[in-house]
Amino acid sequence: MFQIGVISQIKLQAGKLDLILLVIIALVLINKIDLQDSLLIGLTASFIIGLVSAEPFVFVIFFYLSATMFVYYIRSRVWKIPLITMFFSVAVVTILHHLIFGLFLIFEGANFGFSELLQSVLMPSLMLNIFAVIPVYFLVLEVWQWFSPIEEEE
Amino acid sequence: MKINLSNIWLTGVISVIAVGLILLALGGYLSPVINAVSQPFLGIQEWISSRYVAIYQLVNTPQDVNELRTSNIELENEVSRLQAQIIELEQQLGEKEVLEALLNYEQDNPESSYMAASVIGRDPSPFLHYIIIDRGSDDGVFSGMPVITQSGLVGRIDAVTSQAARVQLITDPKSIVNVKLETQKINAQINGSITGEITLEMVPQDINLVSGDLILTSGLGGAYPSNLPIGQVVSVRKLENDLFQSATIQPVVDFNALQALLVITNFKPVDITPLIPVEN
Repeated sequence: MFQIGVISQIKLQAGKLDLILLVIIALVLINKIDLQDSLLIGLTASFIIGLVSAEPFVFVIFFYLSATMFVYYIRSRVWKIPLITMFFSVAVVTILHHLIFGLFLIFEGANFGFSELLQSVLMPSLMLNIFAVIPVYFLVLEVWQWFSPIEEEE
Repeated sequence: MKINLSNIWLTGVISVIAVGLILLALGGYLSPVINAVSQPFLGIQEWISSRYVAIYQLVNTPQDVNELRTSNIELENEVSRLQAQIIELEQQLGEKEVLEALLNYEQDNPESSYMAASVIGRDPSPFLHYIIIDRGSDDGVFSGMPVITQSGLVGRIDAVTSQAARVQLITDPKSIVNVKLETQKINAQINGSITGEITLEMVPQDINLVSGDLILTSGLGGAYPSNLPIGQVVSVRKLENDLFQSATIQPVVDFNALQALLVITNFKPVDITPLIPVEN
C-alpha cells in the first residue's frame, strides 16, 4: 500500500522506485532463510502487486519469483557481504525487469522506443533503486532484529 | 547667646530662601533653571541605572534561561500543533475546492450521470500510467466507463473489483483516443507516451494547426463520449515527406495532481473490435 500510495508518486523522469523488490531482496539476504520461505515471500509480494498493477499478472509473478530465486542462489555464492550482494542483485533484477517488460510493450505497440526505454525508465529506475539499497537494507535489518533478537551464546 | 542669635538669623534667612524657592518653583519660574541643572545628573542617573539593570540581569540569567527554555519548548510545541492544524485545514480546503469544482461541472453538464471517486493509488510500474480509484462494481462502475475531472478527460476504467477500479490514463503509452479539433472539421488521434506527454497524430498535412487549438474527443470508435476537452496544441511538427503532421498537446488535466474524479456512469462504450476486418 505504501508502494502504491506514496512511492509510485515519486518519479525521476519516468522511473520509479520498486520498494517491494528491495524489501524482498533485503529479507532474503538478511534472514538466510530457506528456499521455500524465500519463494513464499516472493509469491506473496508478487500476488499483491499483480492484483493492483496493470502489468500482466503472470509476468509479475514470474518476475518476483525469479528475482527471489536469483537472490537466494547468489547470496552465498558470489559475495559474503549481504550489502554488496544486494547492490548487485538490485541492479541485475531492475535491468532485466525493465528490459524484458519494456521490450514486451514495444512489441505490443506501445508508443515509445528503445532509447526512451533506456533513458526515461531504465536508468532513472536503476538510480532510484540503487540509492535506496542502503537505507532499505538497514531498515529491514533493524526491523528484523527488532522482531527476532539474536540469542547470545553462553 | 551671640552665637545663638546669629544661628536664628541664619535659620530664618535659609527658611525665607527655601520658601522663596518653593514659591518660585510652584509658580513655574524655576523650570528652566532646574532643567539646566538636572541635565547632567539625569545622564549620570541613566548610566548608573543601566549598569544596575545589566548587573541584575547577569546575576539572574540562569533562572531566566531555564524559564525561557521551558517557555520556548512550549511555544515550539504550540507552533508545531498550529502548523499541523494549518496543513490539515489547507488539505481540507483543497479537497473542498476540488469537490466543489466537480459538483459545478456535474450541474453544468446534466446530460450524463456521474459518480465521484477519489484516487487511492498509482500503478507501481514505471511504464504504465494507471491510477486506482475507490469505486468498484459495488458502486456501479464497469470496465470501459470514461473518467473525467471538471477540466477534461482523464481516461477510462480498465479493470474493476468490488471496491476499487483501475483507470488507464490518456497519458499511458498504450492509450489512443480519437479526437477532433474544436475549430476545424478534422479527426485525428492522441497517443500517450512513457514520459506522460500527449501527442496529436494522424493530422493531414493540409490542415493548418495553430498553437492554442483546442482538442476534444470525437466520439469515434465508441470508447469515449464526444466533446470532452483534452488539451491545447502547443507545438506543431510538420515535415514535408511525412504523410501526417503531429503536435504536442498541453493537457487540460494535471495528471500529477489527480485527487478526485468523476466516472461517467451512463455511457456505454462500444466494442468495435469484431467489426475491424482481419487481414488474412
